[in-house]
Amino acid sequence: MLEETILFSPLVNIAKRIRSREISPVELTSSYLDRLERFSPMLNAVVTIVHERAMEDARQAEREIQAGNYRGPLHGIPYGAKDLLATQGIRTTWGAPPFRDQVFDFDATVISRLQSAGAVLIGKLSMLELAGVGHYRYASASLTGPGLNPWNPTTYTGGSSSGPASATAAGLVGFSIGSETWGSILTPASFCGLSGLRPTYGRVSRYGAMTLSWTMDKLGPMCRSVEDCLVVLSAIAGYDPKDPSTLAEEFTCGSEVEHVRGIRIGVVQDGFDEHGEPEVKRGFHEAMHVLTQAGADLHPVSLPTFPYHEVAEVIVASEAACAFERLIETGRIGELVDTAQQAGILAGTKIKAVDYLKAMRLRTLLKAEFASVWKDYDVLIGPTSLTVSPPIQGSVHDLYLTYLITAGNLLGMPGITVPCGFGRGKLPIGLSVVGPPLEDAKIARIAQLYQEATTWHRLYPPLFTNN
Amino acid sequence: MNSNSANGPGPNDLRQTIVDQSATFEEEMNKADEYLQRVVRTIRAQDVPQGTEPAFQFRL
Repeated sequence: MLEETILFSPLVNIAKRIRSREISPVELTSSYLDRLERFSPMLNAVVTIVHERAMEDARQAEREIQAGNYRGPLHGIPYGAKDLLATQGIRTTWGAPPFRDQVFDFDATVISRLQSAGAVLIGKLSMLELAGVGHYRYASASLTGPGLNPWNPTTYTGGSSSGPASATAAGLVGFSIGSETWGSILTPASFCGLSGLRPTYGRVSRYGAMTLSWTMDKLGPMCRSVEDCLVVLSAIAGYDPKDPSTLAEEFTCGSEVEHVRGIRIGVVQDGFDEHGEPEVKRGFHEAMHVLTQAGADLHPVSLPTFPYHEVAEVIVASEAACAFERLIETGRIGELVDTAQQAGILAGTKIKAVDYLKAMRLRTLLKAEFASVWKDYDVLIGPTSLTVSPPIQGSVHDLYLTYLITAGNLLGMPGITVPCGFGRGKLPIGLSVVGPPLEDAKIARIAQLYQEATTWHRLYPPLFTNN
Repeated sequence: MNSNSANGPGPNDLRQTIVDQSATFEEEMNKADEYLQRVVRTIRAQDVPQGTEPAFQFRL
């Protein structure tokens, strides 16, 4: 088995050693599979371990590389996918009991693209049932039980990409793919001390992904560094005729930003005074200090006054009620774990078309208002969450969701979270960077520059490391 | 319903269901309905100017 230091190291470093044949994809895959099998039960991180297909793919990668056919930085790298991405012949449960035996006969585009890049799928990772769309009350609202945080397994990973977050943070996979409709990449990435990137809406094809909300669903990488996120996003981004919402614009991970000096950063702190934990406030202030010291131009900014959560609620609840119409009609919605989920989805069927359309018009209004924000600022930053991860037993209904997360998802803006310290109970804190649509590379570059000045992303959960 | 359907491998106390059994489905449904009614009232109270037609449009 390979050493932990290798398994936690940046993908580009592993890739160089694979390319030079210092590391064998077969040995790398065996090592991650071993950790996934040993540790995932402690975290409820996995739905299905894909052992045989993974080893076959790893052997093929090894043969290709030995023959001089190196495909790029993901060739031979093992990863996990949130269990809402269709995988041919491997069950895709959407984290929900009614779909526990669901098997598709095709791969989602993201899975196909990663396969083409030579990445090795080793696990279908846990998630909240139906990505938590009906406002689940408890972390246990999942086919596989509550997502347990590797930094302290008596606390929650956050959702809905719980398995991708815990498996990546604990070094059980090289990287993972999560999804975000309304905070489901950024929140668990922040709670688990990861770098998680929510791409611009339409940047990544959703073909073969569970639909929750057609106008808000996104797929993106969850990794141990920003650099890793960029490598993964480069492989999965791009137009897909199978998903009409995908953008024609090509994604290139290069950004003209060389340093943060002169970058105009708006600082968003809604709910900060009332809901922010003292340690989160301190961590965020220290992160602002790092950026200021590097020459960034930081200014407090108030987001446009707007019913953010209400508009998002009406849109998501309406679209989900339609997306899960069959589940409702058949009565199988009653099989969902969390009663609050069942009720929330059913309540969405009662929203009138006129209210949905008005919410969509308000969304257009918000888009125009944000155009003014982007005239004054290159990016916005804020704490990803105002608290660290909560205890696993309690209700999650009291968690404060920032306007920055809601606005980012409503308007399809790219966002990234990076670890920026530790709060109560030595649990990770996250810093979010959000930019205008299509500026994925810019926000990632600014987050990367922050990581170059700090070491938070190089600290791993002690329970899952020997160091 | 409870989540004893959890099917991950291995024993773990925290894998057990943590769901408040005291709330019935009817109670949850009432809460969800009341919540969405409040949300919708907020939406209806907003002014929406011309030029905010929905982003989705019929295309031939």
